[in-house]
Amino acid sequence: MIETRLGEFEEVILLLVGILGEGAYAYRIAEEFKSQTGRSISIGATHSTLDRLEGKGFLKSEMGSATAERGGRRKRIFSITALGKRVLKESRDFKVSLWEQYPAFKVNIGY
Amino acid sequence: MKQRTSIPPLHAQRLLKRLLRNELAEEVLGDLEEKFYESCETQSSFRAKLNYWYQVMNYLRPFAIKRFKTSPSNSGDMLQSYLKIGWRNLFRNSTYSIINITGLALGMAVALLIGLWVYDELSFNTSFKNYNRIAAVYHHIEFGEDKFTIGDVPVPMGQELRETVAEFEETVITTWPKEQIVDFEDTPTTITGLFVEPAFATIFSLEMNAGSAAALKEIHAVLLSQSTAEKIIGPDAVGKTIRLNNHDNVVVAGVYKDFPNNSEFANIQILLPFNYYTAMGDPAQQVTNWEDLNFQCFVLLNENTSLASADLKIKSLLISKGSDDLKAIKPEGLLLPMARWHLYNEFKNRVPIETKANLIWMFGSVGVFVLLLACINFMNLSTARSERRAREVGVRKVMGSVRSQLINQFLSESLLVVVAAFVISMLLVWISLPWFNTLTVKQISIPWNNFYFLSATFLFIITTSLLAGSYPAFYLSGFNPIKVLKGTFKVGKWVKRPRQMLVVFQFTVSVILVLCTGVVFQQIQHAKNRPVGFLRQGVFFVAVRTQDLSLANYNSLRADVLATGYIQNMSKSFFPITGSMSADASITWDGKDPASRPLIALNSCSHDFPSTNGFEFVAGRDFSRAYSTDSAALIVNEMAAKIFGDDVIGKKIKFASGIEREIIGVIKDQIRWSPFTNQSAHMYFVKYEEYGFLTFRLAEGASTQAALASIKGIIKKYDQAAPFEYKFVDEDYNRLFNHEERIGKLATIFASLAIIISGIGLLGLSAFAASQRTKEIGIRKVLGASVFQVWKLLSQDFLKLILIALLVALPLGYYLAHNWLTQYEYRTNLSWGLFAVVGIAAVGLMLISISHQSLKAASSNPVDSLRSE
Repeated sequence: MIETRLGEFEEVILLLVGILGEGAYAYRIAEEFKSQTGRSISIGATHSTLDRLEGKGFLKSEMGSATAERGGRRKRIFSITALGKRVLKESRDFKVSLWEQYPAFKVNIGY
Repeated sequence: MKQRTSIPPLHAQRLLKRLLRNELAEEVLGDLEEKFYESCETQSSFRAKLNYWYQVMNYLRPFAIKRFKTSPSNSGDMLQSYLKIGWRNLFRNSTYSIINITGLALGMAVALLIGLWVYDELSFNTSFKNYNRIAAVYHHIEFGEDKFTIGDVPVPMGQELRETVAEFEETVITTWPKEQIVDFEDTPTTITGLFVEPAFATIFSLEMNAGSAAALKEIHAVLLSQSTAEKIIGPDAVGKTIRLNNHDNVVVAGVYKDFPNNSEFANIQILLPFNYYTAMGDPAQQVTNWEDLNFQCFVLLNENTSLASADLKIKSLLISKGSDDLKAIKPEGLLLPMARWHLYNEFKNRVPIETKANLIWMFGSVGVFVLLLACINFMNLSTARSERRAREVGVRKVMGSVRSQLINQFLSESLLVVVAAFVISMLLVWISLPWFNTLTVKQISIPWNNFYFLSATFLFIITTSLLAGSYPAFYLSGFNPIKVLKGTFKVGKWVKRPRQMLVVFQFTVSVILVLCTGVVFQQIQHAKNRPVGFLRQGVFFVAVRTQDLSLANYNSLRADVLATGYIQNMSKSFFPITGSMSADASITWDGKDPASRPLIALNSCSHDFPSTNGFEFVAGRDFSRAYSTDSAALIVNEMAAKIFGDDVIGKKIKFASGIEREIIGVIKDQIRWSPFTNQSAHMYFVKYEEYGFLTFRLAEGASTQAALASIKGIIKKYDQAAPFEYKFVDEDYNRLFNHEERIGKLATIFASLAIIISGIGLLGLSAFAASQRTKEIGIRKVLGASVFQVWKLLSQDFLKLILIALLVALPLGYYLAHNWLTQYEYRTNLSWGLFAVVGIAAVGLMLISISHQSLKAASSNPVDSLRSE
């Protein structure tokens, strides 16, 4: 059975893929993760998550262009699928609904 | 673009390339390199390299690394193929397969039966929870020259042991098994029982199905075994009243689970309180009498107590308590642990007799040998055929088989045969077990749920198939295919030699088994031909077990019986003619050497006992009512007469009780003990007032059925409650041969199976030899060889082997048979005639099994064999 739930880390990676757009390949995503969260992550771990998300059908990928920094090797560019977008949205809506039910934050949240 | 100062570490790159899945290599290496150069700009190149390594290590994840088991597995298919090929081979060579499987199945069945029997014998009594802590008190005693070992003790022994020996947790005194007549609702039944003290239940962990074992403390309460209670009373036996020996009414206080069949008390159907036993006699006299050695004593040792330390404490207990009479027999106590009760409970000159244990090992080894014979067939036939299969191996190798596949193929083929044989052998065992149980007087069943049994059979199947399959599997699979296919390959002598040796071994074992069986029968016949000294045909006896019958007027009973006309003569005696006798060492006579205390067996009887039983007189005369002095007369046998000295007629013999009796007649020695042992001195005297046996001799031409019916009626007239159970002397006498005849029957079966197995093995080998030489025989016949010459050619190889086997087997068989015979005091001489017969028969039998194939080959048309290619 294919796992279709979205983990927290996976959600972040999925969002980063969306943010980076055409530049979303493993190394870039790992760098972006570091600069956005301040936590460092190995390229391997990022790649593994990307692979998993692709397996779940939230991402698709194709080989992109090669650059000199890469020794002339091509990169794999990831992009979000329609299913991925829907899952992201559902995830956000679910959390917002939870936030709204939390009285202590209800007033301050400005969604 | 900046000058590149460093490059990514090559080793890390190489490692990654080796481990990473090919389709990921480009993007991953690209990513890492980009990362590396970016790091180089901000960090030292060392740190960048370190980071590269870190990134590589982080790629060693399941999603990214190669799947190393590249080729898809086909072992399931191969296994199926092995079995299919094996199956086809079974049918292609159906003769060999039948020989292999029948031989092996027979051997396995024999080994299984014997194994079950040995297991049953060795596990005797192990069902008792305290098996390792129970012992029986025995004593070595001496009567002059004769040393005996007995399991009899006096009653006060129990109390003494309880008080003085700390090593014993429990001690119990019981009687020997005694027959009891139990009467419930006017149907008397005879069952066997023990009078026991309450501790019996603890020591032997009696399992109560109903009621309580505490009843053994009472007097008029008894415990019945489950099966007996059901048979006599039915369900809910507890609380019912039964009449015991037509004497007392007792209550059934409990029902215990039957003792297992292979245990000491298997035939004990009723347990009675020892208090009841003492209450029947004179209690004060019984409980304190150290002289009355008529009881058994069992002890339960404390945990972690050694037998040896307790042994010392009972060693001289009896001799210190007894009177001079008791001291005279020098009793020396010992403890016999439960593990030795079944096989080592008989002693001779203080040393345990190992006959029973030896028999088990003897048959155990016969089982192993028969199995070995069957395995040898299996191995011989597979090595013999291996030459033919060498070509198959060559072709298979050319087609691309690897060696391990060939090994697997041969092993699975032999496994197939072994499993088939095993299934058949289980079937054979299952069918023959009831019959085997009758023969061995056992109740063995196949222990399906016994872990040891299952693992032993599993181990056995694996070992046999490995043994039999190992030669073709490991040797043939190593051939060079080119040599084999070119035909230059020949299986050498070193394969043929072991095969020949195995054939010799097979025949040696079979001939020895046949020889020993012959000796067993010769020995039985020898003992059967021994003069018995009394009449066996048409004589039967009835036990007197009730008081009313024993007190009945003997003379009027006798008159009533003789009046029927069916009975020629009748008498009464304390012991029956085929039963045991009591013995006395305290008699004296004039001129006796005071130092010698010969033990002489005694039987008291009515005047008519010698005439009823047809005693043969050598000197003097029979008891006669005409002489009133005959009530103090004595008839002795020849051995006793020899002890008393010359001219014994008229000699006065003095008994310990003070009575003096005069010898009036000497009879021929009789067989009163096992016909295989030396007989003893014994004598008969006249006495009427005792329980005992009534002996009847049928009148000539009288109908047995009518006689039995009329005597039954007469006995009922004198005592309504007496059961009528009779035994014919000839049948009872034959009982003495039961053990040896059982050995003889078992030996016959095993020896014939051994011969059959060896025979079919030889049949297979000769068929193979003939088929291998088909061409040669064809050419020889074309050149003018006669059928006889060809037959000789094919047979002489095997004949040589059989002769060698005979040369080994005959002396070895002689030695073994001689050893077996030494356990008997009365034994046959080994005759060379028997050996000659066995030898000739063995050669003849083998020639027949070889000749079938050789003649077939010799008489075939040479055109057919030469044209075949």
